[in-house]
Amino acid sequence: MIKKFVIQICIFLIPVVIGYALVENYTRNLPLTPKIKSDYYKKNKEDIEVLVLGASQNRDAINPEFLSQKTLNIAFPDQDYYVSSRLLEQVGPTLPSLKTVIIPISYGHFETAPNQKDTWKNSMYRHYFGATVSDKFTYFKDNFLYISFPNYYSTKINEHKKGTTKVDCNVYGYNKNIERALFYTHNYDSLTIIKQPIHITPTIPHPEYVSQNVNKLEDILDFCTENKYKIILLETPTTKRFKEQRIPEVLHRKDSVLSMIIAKYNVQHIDANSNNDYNLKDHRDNNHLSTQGAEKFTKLLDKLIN
Amino acid sequence: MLFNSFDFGLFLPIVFILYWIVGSKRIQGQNTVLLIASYFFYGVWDWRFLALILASSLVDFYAGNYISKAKTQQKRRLWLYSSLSWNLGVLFVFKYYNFFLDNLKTLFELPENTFTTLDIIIPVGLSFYTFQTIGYTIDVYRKKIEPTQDILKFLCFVSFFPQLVAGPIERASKLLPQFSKERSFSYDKAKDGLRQLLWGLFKKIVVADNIGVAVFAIYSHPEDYGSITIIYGAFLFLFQLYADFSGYSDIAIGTAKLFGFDLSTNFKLPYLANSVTGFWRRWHITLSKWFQDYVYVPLAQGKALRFFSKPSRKAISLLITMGMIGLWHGANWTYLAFGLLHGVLIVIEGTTITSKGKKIKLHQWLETGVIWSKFYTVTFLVVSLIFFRASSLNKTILMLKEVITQNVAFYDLDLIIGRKIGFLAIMVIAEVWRKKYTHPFMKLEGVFPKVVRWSMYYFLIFAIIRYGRPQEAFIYFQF
Repeated sequence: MIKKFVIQICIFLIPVVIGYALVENYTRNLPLTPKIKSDYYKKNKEDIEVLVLGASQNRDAINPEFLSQKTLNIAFPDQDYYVSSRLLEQVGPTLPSLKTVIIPISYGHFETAPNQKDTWKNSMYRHYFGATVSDKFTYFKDNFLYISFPNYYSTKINEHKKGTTKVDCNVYGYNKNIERALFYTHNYDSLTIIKQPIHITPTIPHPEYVSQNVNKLEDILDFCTENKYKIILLETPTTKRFKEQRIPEVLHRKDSVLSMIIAKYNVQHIDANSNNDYNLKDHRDNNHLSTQGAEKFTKLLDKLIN
Repeated sequence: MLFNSFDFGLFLPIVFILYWIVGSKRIQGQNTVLLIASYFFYGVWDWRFLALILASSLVDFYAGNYISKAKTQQKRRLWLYSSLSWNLGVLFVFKYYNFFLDNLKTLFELPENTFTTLDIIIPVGLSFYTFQTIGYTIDVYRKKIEPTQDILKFLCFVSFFPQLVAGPIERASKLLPQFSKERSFSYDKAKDGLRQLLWGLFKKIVVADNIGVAVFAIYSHPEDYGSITIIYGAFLFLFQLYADFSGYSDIAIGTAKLFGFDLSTNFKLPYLANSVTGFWRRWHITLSKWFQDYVYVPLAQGKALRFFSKPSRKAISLLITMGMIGLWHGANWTYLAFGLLHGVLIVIEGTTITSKGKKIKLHQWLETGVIWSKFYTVTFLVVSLIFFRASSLNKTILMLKEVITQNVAFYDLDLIIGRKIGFLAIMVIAEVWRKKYTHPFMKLEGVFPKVVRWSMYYFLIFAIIRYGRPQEAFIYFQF
């Protein structure tokens, strides 16, 4: 009886397995930015000299097209120091020519909850860059993309099928499409834009997260020092309105940590935020640069690095 | 380990095979497999709490035996109180200690550092398995059951993984004998279990978790929304809670069937009740029965409240019981308020009225099916569940105020869960249509041909994979 039961289940599951395999395969071949970055990474491993880590601010601010050295930008939304350190430890050694590592020092980085749980991006980093960023035991399911966030990937599959994919990447995986960017959708009309709420993280101070985040940043810096990588701590431009909304207490703590880091480590600190001359069209929204802004910023960064 | 995790998808078939193949035809072998599997299942969360569950099991195993062997009533009572002290002590330390001290400080305006609060997490399922073991010891004391002499069976009874972390809270008289019976594989029972498990996963992953996104947004910042949004959020939570918890119970009962066990029914379409009294006969049935037998009846019929008249005694006992049911959910004033609100309504519904010349209880009259009695019950549930879900009493009051005072604008269209509301409709229609059965897929053979049945299963699996969200814990795990 039990044999019959197990066989019936196996027969029943065959279409499920085949169906899932097809969807998974389709997902893996979608021309998403991580895939383009991954292809660039695999083709240029030997020659990449600059590695960009961090969250969406770094992703949008640095377009490797305008840097003299071959650059891999693997900054992704919500990437905290914890994930950045794991990426650096695993991707760094695969890049024999790596000389410079760019790390963000943003307003919210130290007071954001360290992202150690099982987020869907673990599968993305694992599949595209071969890096396990989760602290937990790696399960069989972590090798699959679609199941990690079906809603997201289903939307991407549908867009791809309809030909409405909103990706306009260069070979480095920098997405030039700004159609969904806040300022673009409001036609850069400052009067409308000023009425939009500002999404600023953290909304309330979280001093309890600071020490954990600082420890992780120090892990990154120690790793860079050991491997003789040049370290650049980068503050990307934000709008005047964004700067006004920051909580002084959080800002003060960030500046204190920064002073401590600069005194302790041999780092280059680039502050493009304090006095920025970027206009509305240079921004996607209040704390992200647009394609135009990224070109301007990356060209400046190129001069500062060299 | 969560039922809605990939890990459980691997764990279950392995245990199933080991149980039926390795342990086949030997009760001890099957029980050993179950015990190891259950401890592994529980230890995955935090292995340190295995010691606690083992200690609780041993305390009640020996307490039960000593009660049974004791020659005097005094000794029997001593062993009973020892067991109760341990179980309630553990519950108090892990669940209520910090709450108690915080309120003591507030009440007497004591300085912040007067007491040291404990930096501990509540072991998953503590309230569930503790109540199960308390029930066992009390039943032995009341001579309703004989204590088991087999420690393996008792450890299995306390830790049986399908119902370990969120019930149903089983009685020893029902579950314990099942560990002594020879269990042989039943194709039909296993098939039925698998269908119920699939239905439970659908309710949890597809219905509850997707509704939960909107609920979370509204309850996190109620001040950002208008009246209609808050009412909408409160209604959605009504369904989220049901889909989440009854989904869990379906998975638990279905999983138990795969191993040849029968667990108690925990839900009987509670929102179709016509009175609050009726609701509690259909909602989390094993918990309300537990409180009825071990708290309400001893209070109403015992000596503790003997100075009151019979009706007052009943009312006071009911209020105490419902207050405790509220607090069982967690150490927060919101839960106490939730329980007491229900208690007050049940007391009122217990009053006698005259209808068509006959004297009947108000809830009996309501249950006769007057349309507005359904409206009254659902409206009360929606309001009381705001207490249940909100993080504090202040937030509850804010939400209730906003329902009345805020403008009615539906501010955030993103909160409409769109076509996913269709899944909620599927759940409601299926459960109401098949209300005679414990789950909608039970005995479907005579209703649909195999191709239709399989298509339905495939549809559920598709929905689970496609609309599953990054893993969400079950709401009742926190209790």
